[in-house]
Amino acid sequence: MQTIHVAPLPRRSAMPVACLARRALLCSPLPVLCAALSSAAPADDALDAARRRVDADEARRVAVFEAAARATVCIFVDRQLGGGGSGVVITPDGYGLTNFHVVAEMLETRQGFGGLSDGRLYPLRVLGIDPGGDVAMFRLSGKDRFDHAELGDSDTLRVGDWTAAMGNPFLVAEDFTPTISFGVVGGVQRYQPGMGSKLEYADCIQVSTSINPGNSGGPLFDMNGRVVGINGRGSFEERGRVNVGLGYAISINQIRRFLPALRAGQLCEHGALGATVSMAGRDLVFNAVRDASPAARAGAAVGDRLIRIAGRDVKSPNDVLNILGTLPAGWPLDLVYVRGGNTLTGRVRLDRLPVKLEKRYELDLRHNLDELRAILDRYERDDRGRAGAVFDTVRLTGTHTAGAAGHRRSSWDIELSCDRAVMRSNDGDPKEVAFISRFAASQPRETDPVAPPADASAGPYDPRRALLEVVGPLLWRPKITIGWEFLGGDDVEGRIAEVIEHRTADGRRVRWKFDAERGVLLAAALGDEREPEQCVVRCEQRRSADGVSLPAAWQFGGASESVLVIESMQVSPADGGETP
Amino acid sequence: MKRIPAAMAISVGVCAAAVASPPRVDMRTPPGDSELRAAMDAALARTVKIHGASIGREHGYASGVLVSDDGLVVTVLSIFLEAQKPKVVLADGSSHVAKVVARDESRQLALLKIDSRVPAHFDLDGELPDADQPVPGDWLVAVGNPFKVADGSEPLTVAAGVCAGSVRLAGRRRNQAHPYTGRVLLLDMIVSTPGFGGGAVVNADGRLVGIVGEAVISENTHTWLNYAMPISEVAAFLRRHAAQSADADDPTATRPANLASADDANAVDPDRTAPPLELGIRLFDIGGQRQPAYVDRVRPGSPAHAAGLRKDDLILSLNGRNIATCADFRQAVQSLRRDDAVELLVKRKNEVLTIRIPAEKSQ
Repeated sequence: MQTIHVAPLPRRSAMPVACLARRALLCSPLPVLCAALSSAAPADDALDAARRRVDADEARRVAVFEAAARATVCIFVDRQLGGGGSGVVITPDGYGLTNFHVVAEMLETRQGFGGLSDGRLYPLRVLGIDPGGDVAMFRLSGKDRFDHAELGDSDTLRVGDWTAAMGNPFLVAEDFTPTISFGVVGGVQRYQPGMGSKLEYADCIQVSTSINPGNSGGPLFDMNGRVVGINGRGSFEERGRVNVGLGYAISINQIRRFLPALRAGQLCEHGALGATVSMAGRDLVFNAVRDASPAARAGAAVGDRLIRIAGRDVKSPNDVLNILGTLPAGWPLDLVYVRGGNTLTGRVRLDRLPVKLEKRYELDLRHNLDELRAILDRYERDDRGRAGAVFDTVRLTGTHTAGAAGHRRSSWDIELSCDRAVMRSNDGDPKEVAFISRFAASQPRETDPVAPPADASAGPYDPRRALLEVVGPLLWRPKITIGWEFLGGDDVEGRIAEVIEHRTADGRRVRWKFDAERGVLLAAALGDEREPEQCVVRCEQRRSADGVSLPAAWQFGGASESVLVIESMQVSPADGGETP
Repeated sequence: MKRIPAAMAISVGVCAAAVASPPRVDMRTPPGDSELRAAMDAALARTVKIHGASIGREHGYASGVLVSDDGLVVTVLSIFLEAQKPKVVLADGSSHVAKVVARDESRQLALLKIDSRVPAHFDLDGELPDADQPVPGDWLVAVGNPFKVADGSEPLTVAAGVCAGSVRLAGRRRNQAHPYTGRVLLLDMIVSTPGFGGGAVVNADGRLVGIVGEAVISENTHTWLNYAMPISEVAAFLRRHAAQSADADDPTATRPANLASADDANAVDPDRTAPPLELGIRLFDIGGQRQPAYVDRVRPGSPAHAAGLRKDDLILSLNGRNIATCADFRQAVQSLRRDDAVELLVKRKNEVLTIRIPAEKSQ
């Protein structure tokens, strides 16, 4: 047998006494003693090598979990340390995750306290909540930089993997140093039904790791100290509310989809398919499909055999619940179903599964807009370039190809100008804000004489105007106020995006989708109140000028399939020559 | 909390062993993910979900281990087996109606049979070699279906921990003493949960070393005991069944693979070899979940008749075990042997009477 990296805890208590004694002997310079031991030498060598491996593994594990413990939070409802649970900090600026049921009591004030292993209690503010998935986000304040834990990949967890849970079971830690417990993954993709629309654990991780009252909201770590889940419940039937070797953690990959909305401070809702399935023999078939539901929009009808959703084969109603339960409302879902021997597919956005709370949940718009500005800041810094720059004019020229065959082509140029004004920001510093004052778009010039004239304004969205509406705020930071909102997350071709929205005075909605990890612009969408995603813009290639970079090829989907390509870009800095 | 001193005792024991003789480095080195995983996979493929009757607060489900390629399953003996058609669900999700072919009241084990060949089973080839007998500190894996968390083809629950020791069982279930008082493996992992009973306990090599016992409370600590019936007891039960089947010359009898039909007298307490006790009582039992144990008929000349038991008496307890239902009574009587004395507490009209059936009279 080979030694493995992970030396489970009981070993440590088993080793010390004998270990020290034997080491003392082996290190002894006395030849007599060595001679006396020589008969046992081969066994000693093997033993010693094994011990060194165990010691190295232990040292590594201790270091990993010391760091992890610094990111673990003991959450309290009040300063008197009454009721609470656990949590984990996941960013250096103090954002953290816990269970919804841990912060449910704090919803009134959105205030609580978080104790860290440095022994101090920090103010805690509740941000977004996901009652359906039993997750909530909070932010600690009180210092500039918090120790945080990295997020892992819960899809790679396998039954038998070692895991560690941290938190404050039974609220024993008076100095806020978390309790650690250790065990194996006992099952994956478990389904634990919720109560009404709340606290459903879909596709969750089952662990033998001790999960006790007070562990709620605490992190489940893999052996590299990465967060793979948030511990939240156990099977306690007939055993009182104590650990019985079956704890359940919400998978971090589910939470990743909700993270943008949680950070935005939203009340998150889960997705609904608007259809039910049941077993017919060994087949899984639709037995009810509501009119105009996502399932109906995907083309499915009663009697169709469902075989795959979200890229995963489904064989039982539980499989479907397991997958749907991890997806937010509005999330895109791929369906594969069979009707009369034909395999059909559909891609739809999920409906909302409404959450009922005792009190209406109010979005903290000020916090929401702060987060929205942070997204634009990151975009300007990491994607567009020239963060904070103010431009007088930007001249774009390019071509427009309409129709699937690409037979309508025209060239165009657009000039965008702006006025500027000095505003006072919240902290009192004067701040220059730019307004787009003029869009000047030339008439399209035909470049392909064979093709019929391009009708760029055909369909509900003139791609050039759409481009202006989408690009304008990316070049000139408008005043972020009423009409703007950080909505939450979305899936753009497998990447999780943060979506911000601008509702214009005439009822149009423009949405930008930034990669949640890298901050780059992945897509945009336009529409009206009724159908906010009528026209989806995909951004491919890049065009750069003067340190400013924009997506070059804008592919418009929806009613008027067309591609707008920026051929050139000229950026004029603000008066005075120098751009900041 | 009660387990902490036990764990410390084990630590001391291990340390002592390390000083006294060259330790078995192979077994004492903690296993890691990949190492235990092979054992887990082996156990997952050979352990089944069992669904039976749910009666009162008794859970209608358990786990079991496959011990032959023609579908013999060992599980714990419990109320759930009273179902008309207990179902065994294999790892692939296929569901099979099972027949109870043997019961072992003293060990609280049952043998089921499904009419299907199975892709994998544990090979109980006689006794475990001494070298493979779990000793305190050995890593073990348990696989079962606690809380019925896995359904259909969903994989069973896996737990891992060390063997904490070998002790004589002194446990009770609700108010009844567990009849088995032989040695069991104490496990440092939680298996005392509804439905885990009958699950496989394997060592790091994937060899079956025991099956998870029915959840009982320790008479000494009043905490739930996490234990396994050792493989030697399981094998003895199977051998006895094989021997009985051979004696009965029953053409339908099935024999576990590779089991010698040796005499298993050594494995069974000598005082448990006496033939079952027949009291001569028929209860007014028309089925149902909460059927009180009213006496319907006492066979003339039977021990019960001689002791004065009468029709319409309501049996309240037997040898101190509360009897609430006909099923309780049947279960209590099944563990009796002819050389046991019996004391019944019965209600007759408005009186409560004690009926003693001495051991010599029941001979």
